[in-house]
Order: sequence, then C-alpha cells, then structure tokens
Amino acid sequence: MRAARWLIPLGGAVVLVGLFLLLRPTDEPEPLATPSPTVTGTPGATPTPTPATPEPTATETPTGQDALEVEIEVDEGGVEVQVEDQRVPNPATIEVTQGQRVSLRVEADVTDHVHVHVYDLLADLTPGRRATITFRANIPGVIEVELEDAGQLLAQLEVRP
Amino acid sequence: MRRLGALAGAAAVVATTAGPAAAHGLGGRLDLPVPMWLFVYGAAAAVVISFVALGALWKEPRLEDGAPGRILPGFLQRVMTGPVPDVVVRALSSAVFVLVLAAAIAGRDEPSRNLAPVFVYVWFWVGLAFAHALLGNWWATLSPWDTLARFLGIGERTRRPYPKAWGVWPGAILLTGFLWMELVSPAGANPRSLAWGIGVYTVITMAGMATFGREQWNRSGEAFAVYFGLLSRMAVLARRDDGRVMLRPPLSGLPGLEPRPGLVAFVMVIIGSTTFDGFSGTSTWLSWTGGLSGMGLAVAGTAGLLATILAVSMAYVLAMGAASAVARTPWHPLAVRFVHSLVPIAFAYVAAHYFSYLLLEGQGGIALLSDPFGFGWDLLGTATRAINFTLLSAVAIWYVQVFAIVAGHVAGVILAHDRSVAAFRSSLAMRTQYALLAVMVLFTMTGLLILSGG
Repeated sequence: MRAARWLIPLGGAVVLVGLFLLLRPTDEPEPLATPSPTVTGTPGATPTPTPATPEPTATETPTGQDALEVEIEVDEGGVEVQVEDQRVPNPATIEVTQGQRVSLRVEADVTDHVHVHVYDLLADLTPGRRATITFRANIPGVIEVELEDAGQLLAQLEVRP
Repeated sequence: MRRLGALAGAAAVVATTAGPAAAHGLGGRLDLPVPMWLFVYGAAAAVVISFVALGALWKEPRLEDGAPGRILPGFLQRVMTGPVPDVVVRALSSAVFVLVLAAAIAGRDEPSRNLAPVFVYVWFWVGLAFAHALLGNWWATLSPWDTLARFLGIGERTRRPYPKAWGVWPGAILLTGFLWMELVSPAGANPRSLAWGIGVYTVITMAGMATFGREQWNRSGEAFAVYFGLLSRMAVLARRDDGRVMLRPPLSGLPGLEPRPGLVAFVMVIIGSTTFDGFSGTSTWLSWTGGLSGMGLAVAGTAGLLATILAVSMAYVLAMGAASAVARTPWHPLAVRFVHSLVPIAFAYVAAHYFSYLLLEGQGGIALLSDPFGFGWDLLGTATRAINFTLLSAVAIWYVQVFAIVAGHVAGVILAHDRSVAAFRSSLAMRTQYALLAVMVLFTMTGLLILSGG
C-alpha cells in the first residue's frame, strides 16, 4: 500500500519526462533546417550594426540580394506592407529568422521618422522619398517598427531563433 | 507595462489625438510566442500533475499551522532588523523617491530619457515583486510613504475606526488605478503623468494613514504594501511575531493569510491585469483595436482590462459555487478561504510575463541612473550603457515562462489540497477539490495560451 502511493508520483514523473522527449523538436530548430532562399550565409560576413553601437544606417544604397525585402507604404494614415512582393494583412507581422538580413523600404506621404525599436534604427521620412534601413536581425523577439512622431505601428518583426 | 518608450514623443501624444497604435514595450519589444509543442507540453504537465496530486497527496493537513522555521544567526538578525540599518534603508529609499519624483516633475518629457518610467514600472513594480516573492517582506522598511508618515507624525493614532467590511478593498481599487495607468492610459509612461500619479497616491496614502492609523492603512489601503505583503508570504524569509527573522519553507506563509473582505478581488486584479497585458499584445487584440487611436483606444483598453478582471473573477466564483454545492456551505466564505492558493498562480503570471522585461528593459535604468533627468549628465559613468538584448535567448525565455506557469500551478494545487483536507472530511475534501482544480487548470491554460500568442 505504501509503495503504491509512491507509484503515482513516480508514474507522473515518467509521463512528464516521456512527453517532453516526445514533443520536443528532434532536430535543430526548424527554420534553420528548412532551406530558404532568404536565409543568409555565415553571420558576420557583412558588417552590421550591433546592439552595442546602435548607429543609424539609413541609406539609399541598394541592398544585398540575400536580405529579406520588406516594403512599407504609408498613405493617408493607411499602412500597406509587402514582404518579398507578397502583401501581408494588417497588423503586419513579418517573420524573420534570427541572423537574417532585413531590408526595410519605407515610403510615406508625411514627414516623420521610421523607427525600428530595440535595434534602435531611425530613418527620416519625407513625402516622395523612399527611406531604406538595412540591418542584420540578431536580437530575438517581437520588434516594433513605428512611425515615430505619429506613434503609429507600421509592422512587427517576429525575429525567431 | 508594455507602453513605455513607444511614447517617445510623449508631449505630442498628450497634445494631439494621434495616440499610439498598439500595446508597447519599453523600447517596443515583446517576448516571442511560446512554440506550440512547448505550450502543449506545459498544458499536459499541468493536467498530469493535477491528477497525481489528487491521487497521491497527503490526507492530513500539513501546511496549515505554518512551518516552524529556523531563526537566523545573530549578526544577520542585527543587519536585517537593527535600528541603524532601518534608518539607513529608510533614508536611502526616501532619497530615491525624491529623485524619481523630481525626475518625473522636472526631467525630460520623454519616457526613454527619464529615470521615472523605467524606475516605477520595471524596477519598482516588477523588480520588487520578485524580491518580495523570493526574499520576504521588505516593504515595511522600504516604503517611502511609511517613512514620510513617520517623519511627519501622521497616523500615530487612529482617528476613526477602520470599517471592517472594507477589508483590502481600498487597496484593490488603488491597485487597479495604478494598473490602468500602466497598461491602458495613453500617457501612462509620460513622466509628467507619473508625477501626477505619484503625487495623488501620496496624498491619498497620507489621508488614509491620518484617518485610520498608519499600520491599519498599510495593511488595507496602501496598495503596494498589500501587494508585496501578499507575495512575501511565498518567500523563504519572514519575521516572526517576536520580530526575529526566520528561514522557512517556500509558500509556508500563505496558509496563515487572514481572510478579509476584498482579498479575492485583490488577487483577481493581479491575475486579470497580467492576463490583459499579455492579451493586449496578441494579434487578436491588435486586430480588434487596429482602427482605433487616442480616446477610442483608451476606452477599449479600459473595457478590456475591467472585462478581463471580471472574467477571471467569474471563473473563480463559479468554481467556488460548484465546490460550495458539494460541501453544502455558502460559497463566499469558501472563496475567501481558498484564495491563498491562487497567490502562487498570480505570481507565476507576473514572473512569466515580466521576467525578461526586468532583465532586458530594466537594464535601461542603469544608464538613466547616471542621467536621471535626461540633461546629458553622466554621474556614475554609465550614461552610455546600451541594453544588451541578447542577454537572454528566446529559448531560455520560453523555458522560464512555461516553467513558471507550471510551477505556480503545482504550488496552487498543493495549497488548495491542504486546505481542503483541513476544512472537510476526506471524502468531501476530494470532491470540493475538483472544482478548484478545474479553475486552476483553466488559469494555467489561459496563461500558457497567451504566452503562445493567443
């Protein structure tokens, strides 16, 4: 009888361990295992801003071919987001693999700033002129891209390991 | 909680109707949703543990009398309870209070450049919650309001007897006000709004202490004293009645929680507000409120916060109704008697939602300590310290979150079981537990569901 009382927690523990082993993804994290055209090569191959030195990299230069292309258009308060030329429904969530390069191109009909939070990257926006922010997504999390002065959410970057 | 920093142009937010579009974090970061497999695992673990607990836990109460605890050695007693450390800590906490209030009043009007928002919402609200749940009740000494009242001689005597029926209702209402400001108010992270908030709360606290006595208000109306006091009952350190500090098993202070009016509401406010905070970051909420801004968003947020607290309360009341039908006793005393078992679940919610917030966004306070007013100072040489967001990996955050929720569930089940066997005959005890267990599984599932992105 006494042994039986210990069997229940023991059985529970076995079930818990077994479930963990069963449910846990067997391989490496999925996104890395599946080959994707947007995943970059070796991290650090190109110089990127690190979180320690958050220098704004608002550039007009064309980006590398391997970067995830994100286009954001702000028109009369409405936001339209395209990832690799595919329209994303609002509120836009953009899935990014940690370590991947991202190229954000933003066009707006207002004068404002586009702000990638956490990475702390800022670029000026003026009507009729496209701003581009290119960076390597090294920080995991759900990151906000915001129209800074208006306080309007443009998109969320979901940077997954 | 999740709105700091997003309001970088805080003055603009106040002045114009263009409010923030979404729930925000300090610096605009949210935790990644927990992966599906881990959600399933956490949920399964909670159910398995619940059944094991029903079958295998003790049949005689073991926790009800409180653990005897072990008295700490003399020098530690002197450090923790001596008159000199007491004065030093009170002086320090008062100085910090003055600094934060001054920064809120006169510092730069930008949440990310001012010490007050990160101090109040991360270091104080989240940091002290962790400190109290793990290390015991320090608020009695840390509270700047207690020190201020002592200094001014306020509340030494009771002018009016405290109405017994009020219980901790004043604390629950004031806590809801603080949480509304934090989670809903469009200007909640604005330093000037914070200054008003601190000022109003200080006046209310002094009035309450002057009317009903300092001690009485500290245990009834001072929301943070009630909150930290509740959490500290889980802690391994506690003061005995004779004032000496003892080491005791975790959770062992909770069965001694005095049942008072409003206690259920207080715990429901903690669980409901954390649930709402998590929910307001999900795409569901964002799509509901996508077209709203300014006032509309504030109204929706207010409704959402109150509705979540109400829904959580309803779930608990229904469960207690079922239990009372089984035990043939009125439900209300039962609800009060068992609410202590929800305190670990409430803390688990807080821990799961805010631990990365404390360790990542909280780092922002290190730089601001050197430049509390945002005037470009560098008092401690830390002003240029950037936040290291890679301190915690996404996977580490997921494991901690799911572990916290499941551990809170286990603690809740154990406490509820012990109270059941103490309160009822064993056969009845088993059956009253089903209802409680059901509501705990519900809370745990909800907590996990929101972590996984709702």
